[in-house]
Amino acid sequence: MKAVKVVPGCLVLESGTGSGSLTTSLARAVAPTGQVYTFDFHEQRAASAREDFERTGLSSLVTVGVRDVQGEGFPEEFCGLVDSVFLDLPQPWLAIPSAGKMLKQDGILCSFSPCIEQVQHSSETLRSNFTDIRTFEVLLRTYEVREGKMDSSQGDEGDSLGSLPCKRRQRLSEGSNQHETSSSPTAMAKPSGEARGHTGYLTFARLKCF
Amino acid sequence: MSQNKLQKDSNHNPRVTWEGCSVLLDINDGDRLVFARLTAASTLKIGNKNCSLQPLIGYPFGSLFQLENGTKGPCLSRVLPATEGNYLQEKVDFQIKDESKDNRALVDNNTAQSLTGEDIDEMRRQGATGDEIVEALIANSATFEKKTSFSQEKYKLKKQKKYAPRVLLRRPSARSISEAYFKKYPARIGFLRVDSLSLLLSMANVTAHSDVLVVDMVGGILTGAVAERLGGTGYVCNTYLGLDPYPMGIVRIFNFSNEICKRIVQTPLTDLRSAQNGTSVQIGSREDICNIKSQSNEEISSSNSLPHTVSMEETALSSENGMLDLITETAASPVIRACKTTKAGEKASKETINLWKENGFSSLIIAAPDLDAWSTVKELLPLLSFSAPFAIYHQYIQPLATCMHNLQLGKMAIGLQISEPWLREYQVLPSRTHPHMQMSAFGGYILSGTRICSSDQPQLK
Repeated sequence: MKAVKVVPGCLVLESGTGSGSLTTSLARAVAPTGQVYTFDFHEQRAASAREDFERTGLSSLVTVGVRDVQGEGFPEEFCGLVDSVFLDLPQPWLAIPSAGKMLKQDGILCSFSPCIEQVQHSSETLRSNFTDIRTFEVLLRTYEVREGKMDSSQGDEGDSLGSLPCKRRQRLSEGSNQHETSSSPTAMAKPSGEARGHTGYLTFARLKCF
Repeated sequence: MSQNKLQKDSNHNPRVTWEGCSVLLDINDGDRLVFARLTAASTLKIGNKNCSLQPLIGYPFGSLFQLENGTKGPCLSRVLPATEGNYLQEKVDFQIKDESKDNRALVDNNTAQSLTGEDIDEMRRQGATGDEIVEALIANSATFEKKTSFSQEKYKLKKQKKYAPRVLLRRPSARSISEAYFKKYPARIGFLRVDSLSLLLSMANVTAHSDVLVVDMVGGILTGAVAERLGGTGYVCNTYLGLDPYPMGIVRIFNFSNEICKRIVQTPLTDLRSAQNGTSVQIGSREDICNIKSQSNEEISSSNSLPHTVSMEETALSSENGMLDLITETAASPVIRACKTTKAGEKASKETINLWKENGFSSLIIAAPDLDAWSTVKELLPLLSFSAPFAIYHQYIQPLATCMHNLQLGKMAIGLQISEPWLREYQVLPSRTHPHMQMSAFGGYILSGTRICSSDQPQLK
């Protein structure tokens, strides 16, 4: 939301609607005075999304339309009035020219695509009327935290280890950032083993000023 | 569709610059970034020339200007991008015919260019435009034709940046401000990267009508970003643990309207806590929190000034190759003073504070590199409503791990998670697509969670 400067009062167009999860975020960002118009070419998905927005109380902020934006572009009535356009389409370059007509000067477009070839094609198409075209990958890495009871040993425990107990104790106090008495638990963090490798590339662009 | 609603937008969200507004100047496509205030007197130094910024007043954000050799000296004139389209099409055609060229015969010994420095100065004196000089350089280069079209493009761009520098007029926003600071003065914003800042706002569920409690020791960028998202509704309460508010000078760069400024308040923690708690807690804030009460112009080297001064400073940021300019305004024009009637950072009213005490804040965000996460959260969590989300940013994971652990033990929160955002930018060009050579390896860690009710918490609804 921040990258596209969607703030209260904005008018935002989106296609496709999909599950409506992004639409929901957009609606919350433009509330209370803005509007989101979202389009999907699949009638059932559109109807289902409409129901969801009713249930979550967002229907005053979101309007769902059934439309093939790749084939027909966005509706003419929005020409020159839109602050931001979001595209999550298999062939976004087909919708880019229309998006360009919808946006106000300096308005922002964001396109999400899983494949780099789609990104390349979109970027080429964007170059005629858009500037500041940037593509990013964003991922979130999570960490697990558990209590690590590092026993700082009593003197008699490790005779056979010789001088090791002292060294171990030293390492322990470096590991925690407070003065700890022996056998006090430390919280230890490590990255989660399972990670999302990729979801998609995000391409942002601003409509040139004429 | 409501036309009235949209017209209201343009008052809230002006798309055209005005006298006294803050702007972000992007020189030569990201090579150098400068924050400036547009007044009749302000100037910008490009290379070794000083030019007035007055021509930029009254133009839409996103307009492009080029440095030209005017009759009165160097000046910025607007460049319209209509001509760009044709040039790009030619480029695409060239590339297809290009595969046989390579650089095996090109020797880099500085003899390829036959125009001398004096020739160029002479051209300038005769009123040649920057573009004409670039064309002349290309025409007089012995090796230009032998280069691949990618190489030619790179060459032309390099010459253009030197002889016909361009300035893009950009609107300051949470994104552009945080990107600029992260690039050049990351320490002032605690190394908070753009995506980390976005994540904080998302995880804390910042939306219209929220009452967001923030501990902002990152110059005000967090407070500003939250206020931007609130859009004039709700409140962002910037609290401080000691006697003095933390500096939030960056808030002034946002060009906030009065409605939004009214929603930014600074209130000490002692005022927010219920009287019956007894202990007036003063978390020892470190000595290095700057205590700036009154001053006019500030040197860029020290931190940003508090909002109730009328200094106008321009923070200059540049890439490693660029020059560092310090431009400080001395004159405060009357127009600017008028705009400052509603200053961000006033103290919250008693009524508002009581409302917060009764209902709790809707979320909490902490970005305080110098404070210990656990000690801070322990004091602030009771001020949140139950089921309110919180997000804590820190550069080091250990304090967050300890904090998370303690929150779990104390049954104070659920849904606890430590996340690290990862961001990589790509260069996307025909046959030249790859991630950028430089990458930010690190944007900090965020501990997020939801406050829950537990038996030993003070009674909040």
